[in-house]
Amino acid sequence: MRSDRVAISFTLNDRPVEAEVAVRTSLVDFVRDTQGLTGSHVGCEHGVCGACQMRVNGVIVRGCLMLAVQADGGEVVTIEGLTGSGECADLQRNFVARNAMQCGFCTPGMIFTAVELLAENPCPSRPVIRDALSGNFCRCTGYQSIVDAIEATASERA
Amino acid sequence: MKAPDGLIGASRPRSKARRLVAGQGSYTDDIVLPGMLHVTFVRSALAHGRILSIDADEARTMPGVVGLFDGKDIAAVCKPFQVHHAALPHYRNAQQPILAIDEVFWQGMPIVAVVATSRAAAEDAADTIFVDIDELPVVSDPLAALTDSAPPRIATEESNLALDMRIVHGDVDAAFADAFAVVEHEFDFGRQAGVSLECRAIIADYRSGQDTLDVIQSHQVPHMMRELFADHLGIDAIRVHVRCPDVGGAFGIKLHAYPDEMATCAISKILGRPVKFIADRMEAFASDAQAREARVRARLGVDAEGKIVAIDAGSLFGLGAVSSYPRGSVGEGLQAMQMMGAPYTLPAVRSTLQCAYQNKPPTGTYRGVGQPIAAAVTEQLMDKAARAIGMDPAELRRRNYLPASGARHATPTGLQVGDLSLEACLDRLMERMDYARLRAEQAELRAKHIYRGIGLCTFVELTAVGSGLYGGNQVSIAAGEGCSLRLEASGQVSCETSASEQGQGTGAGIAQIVAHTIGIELDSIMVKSGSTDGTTYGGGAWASRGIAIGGEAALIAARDLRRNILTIAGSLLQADPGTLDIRDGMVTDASGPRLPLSEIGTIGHFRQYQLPLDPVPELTVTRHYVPRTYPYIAANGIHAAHVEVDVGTGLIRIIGYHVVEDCGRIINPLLVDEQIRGGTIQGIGAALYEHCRYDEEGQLLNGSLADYAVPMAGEMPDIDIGHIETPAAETELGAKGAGEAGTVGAIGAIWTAVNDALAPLGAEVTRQPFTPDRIIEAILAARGDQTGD
Amino acid sequence: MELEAEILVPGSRQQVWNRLIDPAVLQRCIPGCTELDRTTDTDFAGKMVVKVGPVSATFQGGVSLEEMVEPERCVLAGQGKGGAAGFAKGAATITLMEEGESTKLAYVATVQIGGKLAAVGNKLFGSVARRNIDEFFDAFQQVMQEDQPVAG
Repeated sequence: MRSDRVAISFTLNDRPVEAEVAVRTSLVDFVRDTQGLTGSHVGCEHGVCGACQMRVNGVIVRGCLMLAVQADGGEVVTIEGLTGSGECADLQRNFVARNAMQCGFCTPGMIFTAVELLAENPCPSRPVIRDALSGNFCRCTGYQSIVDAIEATASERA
Repeated sequence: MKAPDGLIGASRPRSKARRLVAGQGSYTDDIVLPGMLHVTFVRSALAHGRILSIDADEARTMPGVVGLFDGKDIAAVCKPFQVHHAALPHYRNAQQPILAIDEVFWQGMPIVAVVATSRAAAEDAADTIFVDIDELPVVSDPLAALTDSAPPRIATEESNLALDMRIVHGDVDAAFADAFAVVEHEFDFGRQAGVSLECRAIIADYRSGQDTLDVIQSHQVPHMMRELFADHLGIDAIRVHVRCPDVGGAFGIKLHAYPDEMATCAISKILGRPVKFIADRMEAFASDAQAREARVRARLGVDAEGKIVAIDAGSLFGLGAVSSYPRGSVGEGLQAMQMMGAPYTLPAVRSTLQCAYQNKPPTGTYRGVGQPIAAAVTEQLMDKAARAIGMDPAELRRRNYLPASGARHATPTGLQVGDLSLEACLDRLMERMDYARLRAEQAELRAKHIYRGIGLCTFVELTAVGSGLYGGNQVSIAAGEGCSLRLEASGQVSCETSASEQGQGTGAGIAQIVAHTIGIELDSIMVKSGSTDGTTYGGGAWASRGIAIGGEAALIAARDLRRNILTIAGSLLQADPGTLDIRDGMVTDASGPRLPLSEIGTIGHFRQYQLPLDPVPELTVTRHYVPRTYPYIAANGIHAAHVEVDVGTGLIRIIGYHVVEDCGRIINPLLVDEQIRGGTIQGIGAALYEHCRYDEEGQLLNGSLADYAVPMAGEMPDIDIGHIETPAAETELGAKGAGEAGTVGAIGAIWTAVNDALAPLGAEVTRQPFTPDRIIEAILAARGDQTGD
Repeated sequence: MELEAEILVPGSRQQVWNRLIDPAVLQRCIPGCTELDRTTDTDFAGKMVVKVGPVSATFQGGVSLEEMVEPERCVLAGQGKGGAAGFAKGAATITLMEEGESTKLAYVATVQIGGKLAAVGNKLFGSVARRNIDEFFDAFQQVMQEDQPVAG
């Protein structure tokens, strides 16, 4: 039934959230529409573009392919939380320095992919960075500046 | 211009980027108004048909549903779209209802608007609506659309022909008859989608009390939209306000008035409540303006020295069922027709154009608008001519380039060009890519059955288009840009520009121009744009104008504000303003800093009585600039693609990519290079991947991001960029447009590179995109030819 | 898209024919068919629920029997309109051949889709069509099986 609603509670950017949601509500719609966190963007709603990426229980997910109810009991971090924690301030600084975004719609998703990549592989080569980014669609930059920003961050951290 | 250590010409990051990288962008869908409703549209599943009935009984009773509107409901409050270009009287256009009335003529055409308290509720209700449509004959292929027996794509239209034009100069047939070599090629450019990552979006908020309409819209041209909303909804333009917040990519797609967006405003007017419409990705593929569906057959003749004797090109464009409103859909064809052979001296030229209507979504402006097609056709012919006479393709180009310097003059196809730097760009490119070495390596590898291609694409690009284009067509679109500057009491400067932006960095460039010209720090300026409520009026973002025109307006405004500041300072310091300067936010004289700008601002705003001047010079200055005496500023450049074709799999790998570009005075090299890179990737996408595949029934077969292939990071190369700076003679700033330069040259560079790689096999590709199956097909066809099968 | 196959069903050619043109049997066998009413001798109108990937819709449509040569062959033509989801239409030419106690039923079906179904489900549709047609004939085989006198 479409009207089925379920009570959920989880941690969103280090704060507890309790809500009753329709089962079909996607996680990205939930954080955008009910929590006012609009940094996660809806680009395709079919899991291709990566603009809605966020972190759930330590793993980067597509917010459009995950239901809000699936986050129940979990820990969700959106770009707002990631920024607030300062965890990737150096990466964000390099994105700015290198102008690794134009319209900025894909950027939060790109940041999450880059954070995950650098956690797994502290000094990735350019082809490895490009492969890692290949699940995130950017129509503006042509990707090179994003690769540059990630590469610069990796070498600064090394 | 100031010293080279100034801000003009400096690579500086955009301040706005600090907001975007933190997820603090504010896009239309991020904005919520009190009492806001949501609309979704039931669209036609058929490409052509007669609406027999609409059964919406169930939808009306569903929870959250506030209203349903069909074509007649909307027509009662909103005029239909009717494209009319006064300067093109033979350009035929049918009327387009805002929502379909009785007939649908493309798959995706909106039929019923469903308004509810949430998007989900609206979609639930829309799913229950049943529109019974009786199929009518579909015309999908543009060539088929123009045959005598073709069914009309709209029942009441007599013909599917939109426009039939030609340009002829010199005795083309005689020139071909005398040519040393004549080459010919066919070109099929696949229909493309713009695919901005943020889909189209609008919020309309009508209030009956003062008959006001506030619109928040993901768009490039707020002033144009304001005029249209006012006109179509019968509201005074002074009561209409359009604001474009952060826009998530546009590329020309968000340059048109769309029926669903207009309907959203009409519904707000009917209901008296704010209404939001956000297109989803599937709707974007079915309803955004598409582009580039074109077929060209072209010939080029050269003499024994490699000099062009004539070019002859026939182009056919598929426009969709109706033209995009209000700019029309023939711009792409017209630019392609006029720009055939644009970089070269052409003794004789014939270029013809036919535009056909068909049962597909309307096409419109998409980055480059016809110029990439003309460049690809021209350059592929140049390569074939070079092979035919055994000359290096770079040398052939060099021998035919338009001369480097000269006053503005008209070419045989009617282009107005001034100072170009075609040969300088070629020289720089040869150096950067190490052309000679690559050619040698190519020959060696061929012996090992490794097929690499080097493709060149020289281009001339029309940027900063002036008021002659739409003004001449009596279409209400501003071509000038304005800039308003206010010295604040703090000594900082607020800047408002009519040049809008969708991520290009126009605002950042304008801040640099203003800071440089006045003499203040970059951080002391805040730039705003995208609203019709301000004091500036202008075009927004189209035809690579932001810096070339908007920047010129900013320069003039900054110079005048500086003069006013110095006049006040001179009065306060009892000095001749001519002896004063402004540096880092301080008024200085020969002795050093004398007065901070905050002092001028404070006195100018709060303590004017202290000033003996009458009148007190204004601390708010608004200036406009428009190209009036020239049609546009021609820029130029050259692309080179280095590719390897796997003849076993048909896969194409891009090994290297170089661009040398001349956009006149560069304000911010970092941002210019990013414009070129992004544009280049879009051109590579067109050449290799992107294609809206329609069947004969006008059905789109790949309407999702899972099926419509766009360039992703893994397949794309790093792009090396060099510059030649030939300042535009037309303006003081000297900037030319750069936003489309990447796309204009990239398609042709891939065409020539892939065909260069295939040349030793006797194979050639003619249909874009160059998918692996098409490459294999071409190779097999060539083998068949060689074995005489 | 064209699909073809052969199946062997129990019963004589005439028995198979009689069942094939029986609306009750058609309703039972057409996957997702919730209603089917005879409007003329050879035309039926009904509703069918179809799901292709992310698109699911109730299709209103009709089935008609054409080019009937009793009891050898007929064309079963159908078209459905699914509102916002799109439309589907198709035709199956069915040939019946006696094979001992049983009948060999061969069909060649063509299917076309449009609207959202085509735009999003085009790649998925082949397998969905295949499955639907298989389900139809499996169910039909079951009907014929039930018709047979219980052995012993």
